[in-house]
Amino acid sequence: MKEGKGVWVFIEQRGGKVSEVGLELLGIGRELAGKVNEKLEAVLFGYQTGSMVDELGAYGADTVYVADDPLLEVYNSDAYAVLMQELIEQYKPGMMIVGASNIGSDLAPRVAAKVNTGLSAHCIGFDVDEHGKLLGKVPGFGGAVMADIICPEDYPQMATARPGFFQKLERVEGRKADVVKVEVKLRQEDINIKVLGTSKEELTARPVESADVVVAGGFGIGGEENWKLVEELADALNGSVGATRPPCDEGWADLESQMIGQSGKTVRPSLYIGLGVSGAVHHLVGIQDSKVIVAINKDSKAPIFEAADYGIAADFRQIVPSLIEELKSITG
Amino acid sequence: MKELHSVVCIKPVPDQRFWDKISLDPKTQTLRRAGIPVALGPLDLNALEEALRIKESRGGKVTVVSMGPPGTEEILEWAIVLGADEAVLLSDRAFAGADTLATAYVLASGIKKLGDVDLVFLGNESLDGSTGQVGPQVAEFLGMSHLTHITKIDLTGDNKLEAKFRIEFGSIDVEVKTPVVIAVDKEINEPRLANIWGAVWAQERKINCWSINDVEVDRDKLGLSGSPTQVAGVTTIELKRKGEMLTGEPADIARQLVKKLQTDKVLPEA
Amino acid sequence: MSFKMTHEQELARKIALEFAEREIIPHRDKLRVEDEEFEEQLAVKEAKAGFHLAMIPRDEGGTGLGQVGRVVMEEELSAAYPRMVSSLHREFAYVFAKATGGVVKEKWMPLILKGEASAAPFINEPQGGSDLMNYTTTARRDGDDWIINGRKCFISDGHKVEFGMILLKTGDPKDPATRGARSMTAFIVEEDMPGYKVERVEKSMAGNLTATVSFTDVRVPGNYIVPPGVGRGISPVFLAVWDVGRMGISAMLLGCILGSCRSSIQFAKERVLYGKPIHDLQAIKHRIADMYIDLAASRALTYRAAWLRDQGMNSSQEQSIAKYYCTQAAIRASLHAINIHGGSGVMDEYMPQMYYRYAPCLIAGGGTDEIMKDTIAASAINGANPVMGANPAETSGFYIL
Repeated sequence: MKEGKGVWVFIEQRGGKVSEVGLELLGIGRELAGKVNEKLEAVLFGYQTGSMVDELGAYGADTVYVADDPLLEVYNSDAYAVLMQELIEQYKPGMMIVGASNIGSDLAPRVAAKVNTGLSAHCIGFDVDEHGKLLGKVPGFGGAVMADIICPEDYPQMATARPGFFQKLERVEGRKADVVKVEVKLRQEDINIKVLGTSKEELTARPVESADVVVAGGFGIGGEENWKLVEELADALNGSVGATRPPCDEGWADLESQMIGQSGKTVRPSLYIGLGVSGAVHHLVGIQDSKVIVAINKDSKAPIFEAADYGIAADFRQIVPSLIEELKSITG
Repeated sequence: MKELHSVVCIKPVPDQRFWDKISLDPKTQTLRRAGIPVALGPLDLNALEEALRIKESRGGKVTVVSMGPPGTEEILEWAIVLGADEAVLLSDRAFAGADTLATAYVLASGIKKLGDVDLVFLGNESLDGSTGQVGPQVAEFLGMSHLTHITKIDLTGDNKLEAKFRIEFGSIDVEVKTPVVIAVDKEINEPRLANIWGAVWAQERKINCWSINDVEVDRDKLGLSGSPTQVAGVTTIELKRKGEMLTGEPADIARQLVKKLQTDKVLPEA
Repeated sequence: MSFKMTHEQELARKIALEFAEREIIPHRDKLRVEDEEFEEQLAVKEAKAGFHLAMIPRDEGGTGLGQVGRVVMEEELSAAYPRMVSSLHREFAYVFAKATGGVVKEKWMPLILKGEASAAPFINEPQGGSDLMNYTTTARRDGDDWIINGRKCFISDGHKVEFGMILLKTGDPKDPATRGARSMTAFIVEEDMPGYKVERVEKSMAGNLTATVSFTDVRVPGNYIVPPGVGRGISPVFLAVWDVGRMGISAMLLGCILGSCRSSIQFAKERVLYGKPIHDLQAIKHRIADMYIDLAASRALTYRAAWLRDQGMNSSQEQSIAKYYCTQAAIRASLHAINIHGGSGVMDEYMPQMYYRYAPCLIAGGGTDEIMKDTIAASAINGANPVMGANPAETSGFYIL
């Protein structure tokens, strides 16, 4: 498409509840809609969506396009992508933002290919240029730079937004959105993918992204045995354990919940301690918002020392036990 | 049971062991990658592993496909060492500068040329780009369904499989008819080690190099000019801090550090 | 003449290196404390990776990579952690099965190809290895079978092998027809034969194990005699074992040199003295240069000996030269590595001490320095081609391979 109007955000729902990232998108979407002076429109696919639609109005949507059908109860890329394509071709939005959750990352590129437009993926910030084009901010080239990705010719201008980077708006009770009901003609027989069921995992540890103290280990930890020291120090500080990518690849740490950096979590603790972390830029971008950064690495030339407030060029195996001992004196 | 032809799309990434050697050119704002060896991305290995396991349990063959400059053969060869039967390198100046859509378009053109394909595997994200867009987009160009973030696959029939789609704190179990494009997660399997037979296979099995003349493509959809997204600008992120080094015996260092952190008010006073 | 590795050989090195980086180097702490369970699992993984298939020809189910391919792989594995590389025993299993043929080959070959069989030569006796005429282990005929009695020692990992080839006396010292050299015969023995007993297992200073095995009325069928047959003594199979052994051991020694170089260079870059990394110090530079010279020379000698074998030529003399030189070089290089590492060099968790302890453990295998020198001198003085030439293949044990 060569034109479009309106800022669309895709609202992910699970189990009949609007996801947090969906509300965050309404927040950034409102800002963008203000800049281009267009409407903020939410797209919701699900089943028995009534209360969710009200919620979207309360969180700032001007319009809600809602497709309500048992087939849409659980995410199904075949159904969602086809329906989204129909909707885009009918209503021609100017921008479309999707959360970079697993579901959003599954859906957005397919839709972009279907309507033949570009997609800026995993954005952590947005802006609009002087021509009203969407600029998606992506930490690029290994993380040392922020790249502005633009889609100059095609509409809608699509992007996925990293969860946790945008603020949702204040909830206004009773604020209503216009509701556009979308007819769903698609049936299970028309598509290839069939949902068999869903399962849910309980959250156990405190997520690293919301921890006030983060102790992260890098490849310099050297082995699973030594990894215990990372955990012990985190315990002593009542903090959470994070990791760079190699320990996750080695299986010492969990890729999903513990990896910090460009393609993992962004942390904002008051204290970050890196053990055996060399300080590759793609990790540093994930810790740059920490209030104080401490680095312990036996390689005195490790780049992390330049990005740290305090550096200790020594073997963490010698330092950590002393540090734990010292901490006991203040925690009792 | 029907034998299955699996295609695995792989992407050359800088070898992780040399990541500290990659630097940013302050003038051009691009990465200096010269002399950095390329390797298969970790998730590419999981994708290849899944295809090899299916070949071992069901029969059939595995073809690896990559788009990249000359030199990419090295990682295709390693895929053969690990057990792939055949490899295709899509390499042409016209392909260069592609974003994910234009990349997916070229990969799909290569896969179409291979003919009968039952399964297309990819790593869910690549090590350097990490966007994971190529899978769904290849699927669109091939007219297949796609699945991403897959942690488990069970072949349940000649043209049917069940898969587990991992989502945040949970999963969705799906059934899908083949052909299908599947982007796998790390948890799906443990990639194998190379076997000494790999050195023999690498001599016997072929890496085909296909240029723009070997595949059916619309030139307008290729490379930089065929990419709908562009880089509008770059800003450098300032990461430098004061970098005060603490020295001494371990106990001494620990005392200094705790004191400083207390002064900075990130640790409580005794 | 070509000094270039083939692409296949380069890939073989890469495969071994990847194995080392994933399965050995991250787990050195387990090897250091001799975690038996871990070592067993590692041996199984090594067998599955098929390194021992290098020297088995394609038409017999191997990869046909040859001796050069084999040497570069064992070099990398040994650099990662030197130890009695278990491939050697799987390789011996092939040599014995192939040399014996018949039922022995039928029984063992499928297992060998799967990496599920290993074997050792049972040669040494408590009073020595090279003095064959004074062996006390004997076999006497009983119908179609033979009954073995005696004891063999210094069998590397002898408590783990499934079978072996034993050299013993079948002759009668009073009978001129079966006396002296004509008294020696080689048999295949299997660990589950009644009367076969691992008497004790001893540990070397580097942690590798050697066993003493005793034979009490062990009944062996006649078709377990290794050709050419009874009283034919030092048969070609022994020359083959010697070749395979010397080249394998040279490769392990190469690994000690390579590993010493790698850890020294890494250490010299990381250790800072007077504000500069220590590789800036001339004394350190020269030590590193010395190690590299030894690495280059040892590789040149070993690869050439292996390459000559791959061309079907006898390289016994070259192998002795290589093994002698590699032994000396490995001890020198590991000592340099200790010097470069300073105090850390002798600590358990650093590698130099391991190379330094391990290299001397390889002195005896395939013959001590003196035996190597004896054979080198013998071919220098009496050989048909005294000027480093390769002899035609028929004098080599390898014609059986």
